[in-house]
Amino acid sequence: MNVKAYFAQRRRIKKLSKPKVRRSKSNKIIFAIVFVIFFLYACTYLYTFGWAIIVSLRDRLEFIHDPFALPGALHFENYIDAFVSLQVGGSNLLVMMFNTIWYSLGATVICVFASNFLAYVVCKYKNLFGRIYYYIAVFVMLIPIVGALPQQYALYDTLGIIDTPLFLITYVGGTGFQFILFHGFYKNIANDYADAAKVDGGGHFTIMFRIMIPQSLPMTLALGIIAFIGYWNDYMTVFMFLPSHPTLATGLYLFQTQPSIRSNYPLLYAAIIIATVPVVVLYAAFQEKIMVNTVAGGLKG
Amino acid sequence: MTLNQHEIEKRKIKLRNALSKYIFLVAIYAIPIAGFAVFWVYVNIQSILNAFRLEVQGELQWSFRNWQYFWQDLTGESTFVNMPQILRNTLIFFGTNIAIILPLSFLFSYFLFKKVCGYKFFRVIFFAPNIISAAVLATLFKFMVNPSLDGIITQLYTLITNKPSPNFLMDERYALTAVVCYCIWTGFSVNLVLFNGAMERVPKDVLEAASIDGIGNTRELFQIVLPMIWSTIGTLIITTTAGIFMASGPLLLLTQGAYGTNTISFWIYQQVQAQTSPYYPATVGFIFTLIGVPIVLAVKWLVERFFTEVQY
Repeated sequence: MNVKAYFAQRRRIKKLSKPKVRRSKSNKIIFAIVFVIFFLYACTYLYTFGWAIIVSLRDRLEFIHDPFALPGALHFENYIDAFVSLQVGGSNLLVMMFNTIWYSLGATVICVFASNFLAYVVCKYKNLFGRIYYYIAVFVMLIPIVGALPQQYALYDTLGIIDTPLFLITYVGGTGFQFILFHGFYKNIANDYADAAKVDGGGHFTIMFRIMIPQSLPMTLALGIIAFIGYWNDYMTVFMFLPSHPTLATGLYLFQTQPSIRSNYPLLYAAIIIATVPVVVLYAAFQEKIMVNTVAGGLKG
Repeated sequence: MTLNQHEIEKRKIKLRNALSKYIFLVAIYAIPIAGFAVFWVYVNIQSILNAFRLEVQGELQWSFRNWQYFWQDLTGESTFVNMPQILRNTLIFFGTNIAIILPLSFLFSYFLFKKVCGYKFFRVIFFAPNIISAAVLATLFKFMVNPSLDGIITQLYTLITNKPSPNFLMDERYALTAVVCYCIWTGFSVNLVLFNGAMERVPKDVLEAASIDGIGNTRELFQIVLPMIWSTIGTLIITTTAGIFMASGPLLLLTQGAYGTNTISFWIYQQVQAQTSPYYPATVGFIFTLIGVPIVLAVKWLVERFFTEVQY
């Protein structure tokens, strides 16, 4: 076999072993149409955020005068200005950023670890109590109780936790979606290490905190990031229960209720970008981990 | 050591073990259970009781008066709350979710899964709304449909119809449609992530076998992929139905429930925000809980009955 024929053969093998997507003519048309639809849909997002970035760099008067022109000069100082002059009830953007961080972090840690710990004991200590608790968790997710909000507000008011960081204790319940996911996770974790530790005289706390919980950390991190992004973006809860500790998402709403700020669109857009960038970076950094460890792997009812 | 002493020693150890186990369990269970008891059980029981309460001259009384009010609001006898409209909107948003967003996101995921040209790029863009706050998206949407800002949609409207554009979110005729459009625009993301994850788990050899047998895309979609990810779809249908009277969507940001766009849950939110008497909202909430529970159970039953789960 000469060299030329050898390489030709190799190319052929390579071509065969690479699963090329083959499509019939009618399929090709369908895929082309889908591509166009996808492209247009993607464009709406690219346009929206592209425009937000452009406007955030424009001069205020220039924008009001002609919203559609491209910026003459880039006003990066808008971003600094946004931190200083966007203010609602004594909270500027910097304070809001701080509020967002403690609120999202606190709620995430409490919520994720509460459901993690609970799921562990419910799953690994089989008793009647655990079984009942599991059914309660499923029940709570399924049964739509409408209109508990007024009573919730009244209770929090009585407890004096409205508008204080203590509000975070309302997240200790540990039921909900995360509980179910952790429960499924612990079901698949073998007891070998725990049994070995028991033989060596390890107590229940040792087994839990030194052996079981560490194994769940990748999943805890993934669920934690999803929860964190959710709390970061949540504006309705904060608006209702922590009115004088507005987070960034709540702030975006509040700014629009202030006549003096409402018309300063470049600053508002800058605030929008400031509120968005941290979660996008966080998600981009951990995307693989989240995908591997969570609901994205499929969810079962 | 006599046998008896040995027995006693053994029992002591057993007791100590049992004790340490219970101390452990109590320590772990105590806080979440206390939290659950106070923040869920107590709240909901009180909330249900509130449906039968009324405050008359500062005094709490048992009464069915709020149920009468509700009936009057529903039948249009009273105009205190426009209940028919609120109910209609709630059902419209629910219908949009189940009948438009869910099937479309299933189709979208399938084509992403089949690696339509540029699928990696599309995936990043389509997943993005998932992590961006509704506050951001709704604000941007609001600016796009605002004619005084020359928003892109108002410009397009003027271009096509040659008429000055209305302010879509502040016009009784268009507001509801505009909010529904917003919901569709941003609604695919969560479903896409879940469906995409589920489809990736479908074993490749099943699909290969099917394609060797000459099965086309349509049959592959409905006879292989759909049944194999049914548990995900079914769960989504059930959770969407469970949220039927609870989801208030983007109303706070877009319309504040005005211009004929209010829903049940947002109306309740508004009542709490305005610090009005809690008894009437509690009654309305309880009535819709009573309606919602059988619906959810029926949907769950249907989902489980008509499609058996495939194990793989």
